Amino acid sequence: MFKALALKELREAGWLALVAAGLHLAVVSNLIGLNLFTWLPMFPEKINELPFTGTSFTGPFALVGCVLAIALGFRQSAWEGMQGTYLFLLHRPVARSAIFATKIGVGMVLLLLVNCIPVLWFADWAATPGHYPGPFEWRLTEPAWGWWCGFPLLYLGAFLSGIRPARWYGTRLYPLLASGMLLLVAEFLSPWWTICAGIALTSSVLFATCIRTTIFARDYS
Amino acid sequence: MTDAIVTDRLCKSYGGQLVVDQLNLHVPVGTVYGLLGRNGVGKSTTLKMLAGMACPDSGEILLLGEDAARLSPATRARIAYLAEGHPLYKWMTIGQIVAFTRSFYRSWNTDLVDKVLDHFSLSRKARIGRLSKGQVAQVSLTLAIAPDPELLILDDPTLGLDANVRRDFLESMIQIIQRRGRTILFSSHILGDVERVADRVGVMIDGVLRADCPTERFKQAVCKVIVDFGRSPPTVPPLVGLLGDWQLGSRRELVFVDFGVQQQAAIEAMGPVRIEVVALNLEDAFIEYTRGARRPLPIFTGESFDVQGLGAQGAA
Repeated sequence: MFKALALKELREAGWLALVAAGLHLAVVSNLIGLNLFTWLPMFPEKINELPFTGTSFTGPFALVGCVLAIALGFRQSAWEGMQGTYLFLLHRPVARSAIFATKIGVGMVLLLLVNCIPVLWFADWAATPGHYPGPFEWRLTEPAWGWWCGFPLLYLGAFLSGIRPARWYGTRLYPLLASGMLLLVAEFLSPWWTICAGIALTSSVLFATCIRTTIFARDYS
Repeated sequence: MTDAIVTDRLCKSYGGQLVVDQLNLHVPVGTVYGLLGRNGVGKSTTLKMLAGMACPDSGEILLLGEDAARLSPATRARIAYLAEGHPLYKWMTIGQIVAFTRSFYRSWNTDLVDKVLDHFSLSRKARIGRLSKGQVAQVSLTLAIAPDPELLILDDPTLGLDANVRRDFLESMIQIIQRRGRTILFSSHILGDVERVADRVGVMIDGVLRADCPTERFKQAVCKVIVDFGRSPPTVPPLVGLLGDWQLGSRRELVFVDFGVQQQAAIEAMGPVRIEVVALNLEDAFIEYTRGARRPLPIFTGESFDVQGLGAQGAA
């Protein structure tokens, strides 16, 4: 049952992850000088600064990761409501919380998996002698991992916005706005990573609790 | 347990407007119950609350003896719910949606699924998004019956289907419900369909269940009385069971619940030239019963509106 649910979620949301993975790989391939996607506008060219220290990697990485987190969150929550298929899915003989936990589990795995690939690839390239004429330490990747840890927060905010009933779209987006602000605060405090991790973890638990409350309290149509 | 569905003072409002008002519904086991009402009277909301898709503001629901608010997966497996419009995943093929749905159930009648799909000439390779509305309804019905449910809640299952497909769908439904002890609660706007399959009907008006009685009883109880005065008709005094009163030239058309000796005597006292009592089919009875009442409507109850006791005592 959970396998079938997970496969359904993968089929419905997996293409978003594939698009994001493609964009990440295009950015990294340009940065490391493969020059496969130089014809694409707005894409960075071969890196000329110490890897991970500027915005040449972190900027596109954060942008693609944030867009993927929001898109995944909405795709897995609001889209099902728009199609009316919640009425079909939620009547199956399984706890409602288990259905949504599976959805979120699949979303999280996709999000974290797709967003760790470019960091690992770029770090591996930078760590390999002869690629970049400068020292490399794994500590340099911390800003990227900071964003990586923050993406789930944005995903949960988007998911909650997608299932939350509201009178109009503006107020529906409050959880997404809140998660976005929390993510920015966490990034601002990233040098103090324990505070940053605490904010991300506490906020994620809060959003997960709100999602659990909402799925039982709302009406489906 | 004698009732498959019991609701107790069920209420639901949207934006301050009461959509379902103090609903007390009892559907006995083995009954095919047709829930009727005009658009927006709360039928779909009622069925959604029963299926757990909408939260009641107050009141209680028991399904197969279990509180619907805390329905266990095991009990939910004994209940099928077909939502209005038959929402299914359009990207799936019939084979995929069958496999997907099957994964949730311990009991699944594969032979029945194969036979029903074959009966409807549906290929397992066909994509849901490419099927006609009628075919989607057929797939939906197939998925609903495959776990052999004891209770089926169907929200306007024939909505949007053409006459042939509707007939086919209903005949399949009749075959399915022939299993003893299976209970079906369905809403529909097609009164002919309801008349064909329902043992009992409930009529909702403005969120209130106004009638709840056997189908035959409802048809027999509501009648139209055409009174021709041969002159300008006098005003009809308030009479027990009088639902509607329309003037057409020298005639008055009166709609009654439980038209009897008392009402007949009162009309004869007005000096008419002719009195004609017209029996109604379910559709006409429903229309007359629900169209713009000018007086408070009598509330039928299961006991006082028993088919044996036709007479004025049934009306409030």
